[in-house]
Amino acid sequence: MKLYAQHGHATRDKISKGIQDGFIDGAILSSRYLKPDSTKDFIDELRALNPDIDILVDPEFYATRYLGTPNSQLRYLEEWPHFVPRQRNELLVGTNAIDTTLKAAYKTQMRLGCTALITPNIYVSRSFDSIEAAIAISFFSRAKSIAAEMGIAIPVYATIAVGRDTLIDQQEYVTFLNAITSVEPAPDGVYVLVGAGPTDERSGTVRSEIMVPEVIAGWMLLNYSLAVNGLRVVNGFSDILSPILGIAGGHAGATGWWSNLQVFSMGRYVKGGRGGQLPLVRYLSTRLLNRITVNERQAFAEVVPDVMNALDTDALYERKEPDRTKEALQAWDAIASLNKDILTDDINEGLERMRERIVVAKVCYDKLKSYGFTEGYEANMEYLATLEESLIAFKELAEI
Amino acid sequence: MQNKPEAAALAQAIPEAKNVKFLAEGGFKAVYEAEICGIKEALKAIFIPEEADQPEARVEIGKRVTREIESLQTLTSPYVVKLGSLSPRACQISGHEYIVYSEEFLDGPTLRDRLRSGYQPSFAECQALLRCLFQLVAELKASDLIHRDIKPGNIVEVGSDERPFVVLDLGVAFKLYSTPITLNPEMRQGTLPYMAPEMFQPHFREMLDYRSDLYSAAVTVYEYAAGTHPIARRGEDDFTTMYRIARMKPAPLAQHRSDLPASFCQIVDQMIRKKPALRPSNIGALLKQLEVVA
Repeated sequence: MKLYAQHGHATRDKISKGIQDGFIDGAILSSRYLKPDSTKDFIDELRALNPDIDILVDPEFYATRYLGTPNSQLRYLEEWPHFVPRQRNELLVGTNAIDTTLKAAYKTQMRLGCTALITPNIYVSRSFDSIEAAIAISFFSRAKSIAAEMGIAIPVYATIAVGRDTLIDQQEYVTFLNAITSVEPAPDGVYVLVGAGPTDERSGTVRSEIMVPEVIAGWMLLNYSLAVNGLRVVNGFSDILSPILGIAGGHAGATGWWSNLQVFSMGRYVKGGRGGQLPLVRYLSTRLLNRITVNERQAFAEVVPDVMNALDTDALYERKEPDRTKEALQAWDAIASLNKDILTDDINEGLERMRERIVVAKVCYDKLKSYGFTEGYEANMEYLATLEESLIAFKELAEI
Repeated sequence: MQNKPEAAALAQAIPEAKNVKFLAEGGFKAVYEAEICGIKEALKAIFIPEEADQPEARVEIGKRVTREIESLQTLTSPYVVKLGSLSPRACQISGHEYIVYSEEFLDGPTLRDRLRSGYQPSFAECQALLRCLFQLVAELKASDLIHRDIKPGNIVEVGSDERPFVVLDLGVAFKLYSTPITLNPEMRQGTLPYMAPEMFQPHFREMLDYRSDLYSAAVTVYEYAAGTHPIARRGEDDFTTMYRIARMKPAPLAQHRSDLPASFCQIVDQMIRKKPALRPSNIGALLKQLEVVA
């Protein structure tokens, strides 16, 4: 499974370092944080570091719903040619508006030199039994046809951006899956975003609304079903769930340095009204399948050395608190290492390996508890139980 | 079959048919072997109920025959039965109405006959069967048709290189994007143990596609290879079978036939998943996959 950087605010040298040091296989750039004119230079810079990397640009068309709202924070999105508000009826009736939007997005991404194109789409917030879902299917089904019309030879990844609630109503969800897997011509792949409620910059993936067995299992099912049908699935904002999605057949996962690059939320396009301190720098422990603070890392490692990953990036945390770039590199290194350890061609074997890793994490937390580290114990055990239940629920859904 | 015509009476009604011999029967039809213009063909007699008895069935059967014949005229696949020399003809036999026409006579056992005899096919035969069925479903799909009754009893093992297996009977074929023939939208056509799970969903006609045929094809290949049906059990009532189709996970094919390549068994197993979205839908890719199975 490939691992991409999920690009966002305050990039600086994070992605270039990640590419240079070989921790990531590419990047999903955000058109919100890049001006159309400067994006090509940025892509060229990244490609100069490694010509084989994958570069994708998320057109973030789903955020057009916030155009003209007083508290929106769309940054450079309005400067992109495809980012034009469309009325719901315009997208629902006929395909003109959809085709025009797809063409504008493709044209820009082709000019930038992306390795694959990400299609615009709208966000399906609550249910697949909705007008939003009908429009989303239209975008999906036009994705490859329009690319073919334009003579585009590089892969096209159709966006599926959905709220976590959509994955819970199984009947409608399966109907949606049945519909998109019969689309012809099918896109080469899918860019999947599963959104939770407004993400708190200071809460990590494991405390997010995504962490529900039905949601994770549903996300896995999407990867599995599309992979079975020959489509590559690129999971945006998948962070620590990347290996789990990889077991189900995911082609790539992505994560970034802020919490809002680790969990997707439409709330990121709206001003939260919260200020305050920056989140603490954290260390992603592959043993705990969780992020811990630098202080915790030091304290835990003294009694349970296993919480350390024994990877080269551990050195980045040795002397003083690392900066955000080092934090990002460490997280990518840890997730890539989990992918390497867990993923195999055999799905049952992959699920079993993941289950074993969860058991190991529980044992580690139990040991830490026995040494008096009780803070967050219940919540962490609950999180691990959620992961375990997700695997069981997925097996049921995928009929494995 | 109701009011099955005697072979002699049929021969009398169709003077060009010689040496008529009864072969088999279904709900509304009977099949005979006959010589027409010196060539052995399969003569099909479809019973048309009286207007007063079953007015709706009368209309429906007429439309089904028309669809079957139109479909067979359209399809060019060597893996589907061809029409014979006798064009459809309405005739009265012993006071009853029938539509009679002919199809080519296929000399060979059906897969049902093979199963009854306890025959165990080789991997090459199983592979050839799956290939034929995939190719046929691809052509049906291109014509917006769903066969809906692919099963061992409707497949003849001809055994030639060009046509190892041939599928019969498009009598309940479903034509997408056209007015349904069956007036009752909840009525399921086909043979229960081979029906795809989505056939039992409410409003199933709105979501039916060729993946239902891929499912039936895989169930057929599984049964032919394993000698046992993956889901249904002999002697069980229809409701139990329906429950099994909707809920029960079949044993992997490899459990019955460990001698078959694992990748072949995986293709078959994957095609009998309950959710259509979990069945690979790209038939071209499936055929390529099938070719590289060791």
